[in-house]
Amino acid sequence: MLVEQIINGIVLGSMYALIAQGYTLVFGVLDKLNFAHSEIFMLGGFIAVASVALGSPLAIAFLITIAISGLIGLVVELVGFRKFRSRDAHITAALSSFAIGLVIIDLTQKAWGTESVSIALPDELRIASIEVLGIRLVLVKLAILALSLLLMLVLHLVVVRTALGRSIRAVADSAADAALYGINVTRVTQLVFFIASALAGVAGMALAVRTGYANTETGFSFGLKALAIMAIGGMGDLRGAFLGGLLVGVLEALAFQWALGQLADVAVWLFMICVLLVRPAGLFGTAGSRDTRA
Amino acid sequence: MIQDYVIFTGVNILLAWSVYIILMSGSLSFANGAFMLIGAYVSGVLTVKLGVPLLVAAPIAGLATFAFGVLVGFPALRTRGIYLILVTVGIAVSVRGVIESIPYVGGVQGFGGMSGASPWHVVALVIVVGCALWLVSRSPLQRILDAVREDELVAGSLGINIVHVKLVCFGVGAGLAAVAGSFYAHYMLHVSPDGFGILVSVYIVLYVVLGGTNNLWGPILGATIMTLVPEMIRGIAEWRPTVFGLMIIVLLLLRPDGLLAFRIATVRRRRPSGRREAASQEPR
Amino acid sequence: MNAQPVLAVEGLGKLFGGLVALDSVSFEVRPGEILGLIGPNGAGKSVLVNVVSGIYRGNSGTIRYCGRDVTHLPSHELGRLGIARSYQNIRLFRRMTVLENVLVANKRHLTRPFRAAWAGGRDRDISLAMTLLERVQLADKSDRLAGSLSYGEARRLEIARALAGEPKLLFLDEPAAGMNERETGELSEVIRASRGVVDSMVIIEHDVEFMRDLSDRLLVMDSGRKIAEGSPAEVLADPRVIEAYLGSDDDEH
Repeated sequence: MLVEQIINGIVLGSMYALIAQGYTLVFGVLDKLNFAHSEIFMLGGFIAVASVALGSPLAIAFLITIAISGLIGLVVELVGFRKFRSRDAHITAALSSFAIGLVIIDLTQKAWGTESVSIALPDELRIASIEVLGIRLVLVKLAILALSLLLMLVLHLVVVRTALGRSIRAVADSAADAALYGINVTRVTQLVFFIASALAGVAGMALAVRTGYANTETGFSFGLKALAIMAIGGMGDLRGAFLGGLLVGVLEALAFQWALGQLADVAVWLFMICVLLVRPAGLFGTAGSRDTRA
Repeated sequence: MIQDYVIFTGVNILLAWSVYIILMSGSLSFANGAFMLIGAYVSGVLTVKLGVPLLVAAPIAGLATFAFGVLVGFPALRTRGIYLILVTVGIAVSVRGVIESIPYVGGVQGFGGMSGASPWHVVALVIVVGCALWLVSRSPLQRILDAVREDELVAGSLGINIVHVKLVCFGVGAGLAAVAGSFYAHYMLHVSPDGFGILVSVYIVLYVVLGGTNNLWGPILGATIMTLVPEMIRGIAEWRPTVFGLMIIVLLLLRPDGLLAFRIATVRRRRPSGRREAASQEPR
Repeated sequence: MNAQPVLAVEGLGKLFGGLVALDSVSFEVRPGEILGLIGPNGAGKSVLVNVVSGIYRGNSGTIRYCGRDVTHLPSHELGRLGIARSYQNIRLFRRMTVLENVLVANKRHLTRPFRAAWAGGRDRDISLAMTLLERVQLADKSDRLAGSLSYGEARRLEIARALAGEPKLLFLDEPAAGMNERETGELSEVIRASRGVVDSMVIIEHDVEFMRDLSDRLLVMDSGRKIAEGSPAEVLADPRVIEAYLGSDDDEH
């Protein structure tokens, strides 16, 4: 049914948005891309699977995933980005984060093997659904949607309404100026990495719960796409990442509906290339975005 | 088998050089895995479905991919730095996705039927390309490329047509990757999109980063280390991505220009008495 | 002798967002002259040079070079036509040697860079480059990395590199910035010595004393507009010029 597919698309889009916002947070603050981000997303699924396998209820698994993903994010910041603060070092930082991503994939495969690993949740839980106005709504998907929206709303409120958010925005504007105002740029950067990685981990867990398994491929297939989405929505723009994620999610779901699924991936990346060429500020980016061509 | 080592090392050196050639004009390309893929497929279709011999098919694949590189390069090279990385990643993913959806070449499975490739061809190619790069490194072209790489704006006002230089380098890099891919696929007797995703493109870039980004020897070193060392030290082969990743991480922290980081000056003036001018100092 | 101006700028305007950086500027550069471009900070001098050398695109006005309309040409074509420049913050190719910096500006290879891979004439190129280096007193440092030069040496190398392209028109953007008296003196020498090599020069400078003796004519800008043009004696006595300078910060050198 069309409406169901659109809802699927929104759920999918909300996961994309979570990951894309993570990319955006780091890009906003450091002007650099964190290529380990998609692998933290991938790892999130495995953390969730492991937690559940060890007997945690979902809520606890959720907290564990946040904590561990966030911590790994801190390691990534320390190893891959701390030393490369200058503007010119963005390529070096990108390469370093790629390398960290490689390590994460390999270690994950060594620990869990290369096949998909199922999450130990009863099937009835995963496919339970209710019917509203003739539309079948899978409860798990609704939960994921609600959780994702809630997290992103909290993030938005933090960034826009709190002192912490002001610090983040100050550093995003100009780290040098922020330092002059007494803001501890390193701490803010660490916090941003923690939040971004935690969001990615949650998205990974959400995907694992929704599909029923975790897989090492998802970083490159799913996670990297969120990078394209960020570029489409507007580099460094949280709202753009959110809207972009939803848009791509819905379009992808519709594409599957009309049996064009295979080309959905390609279409997203081609679209990103077009956006970067024609309107580098992104579809939803604000006009005040920094000049995107070096 | 020795043959395997020779082919894989040779192909990886050629691939590393393909990234290096593009890097010489100041662009870092994450699309070379895709160019390799295109080359493998074009040459595979030519030999398997049209009966063309490999030594004819490979150059054709190279030329075709050169043209493709120039075509996509034209819009792509308007972006710089991180944005170019994103665009080349996009190219890599898109090329693979498109090829996967073409039934004529076997879709996701790919196709086989190649009749092998000789290591000697790869060795010969490495020698030829190496000599060409060496000749370039001692010529005015090297200076022009270095100027474009170091400061495009100034290079432009000196009269260098930046777009032209970058496009040709991009195309040549793409063509070289395609030829390497042709030999690789024919040696493996099979080609499928699976071995050529974005991961391969990342690996190739990391060969150059490891070995050295400023001269033609760096890519040789990086490709050789990463191909042969895992073969030689048994334990490492299974942990290749981790070992490689850690090496890169450490290297970037200590020596971001790679192991062989030096740039070789194109000319050195000899003093009238025959003694060389004193060694240059580090830039401030 | 051709009396046509080397450069004729008419009504040149440049906007940055809402800010008027250049407001209908018109002037000319005559063959064989050194034209000094002076004015207080923020007057638009560097913007003017950037527009004329093709780095920025002007919003209005025309630029004629030896009679030819070059208003919309990109910087590499202007470079090939014989317009060269140096930069305020010295942009040498630091990873190349001194000699290579001069060699790379050799016009011979620029239109067909890839053919340069097997071009001959290497010794001739080198000896031409060395002559230029001798002219700026850097010949003994030819194999040093450009990035290791002192400030004054780097400036001189930039000039040598600009001259290597055999330009007709050379723009020097604040060549004396940050130099002490001795270095300024050396720079003066180098500039005077270069008069035979290049047709005309436009020198942007803050240091009015430096320009007074060096220039044939002076052009004064303030707030994006030309406020005076003429011989150094006339211009520096002009009350509008004096006022423009008094109203600006006086902390140079």
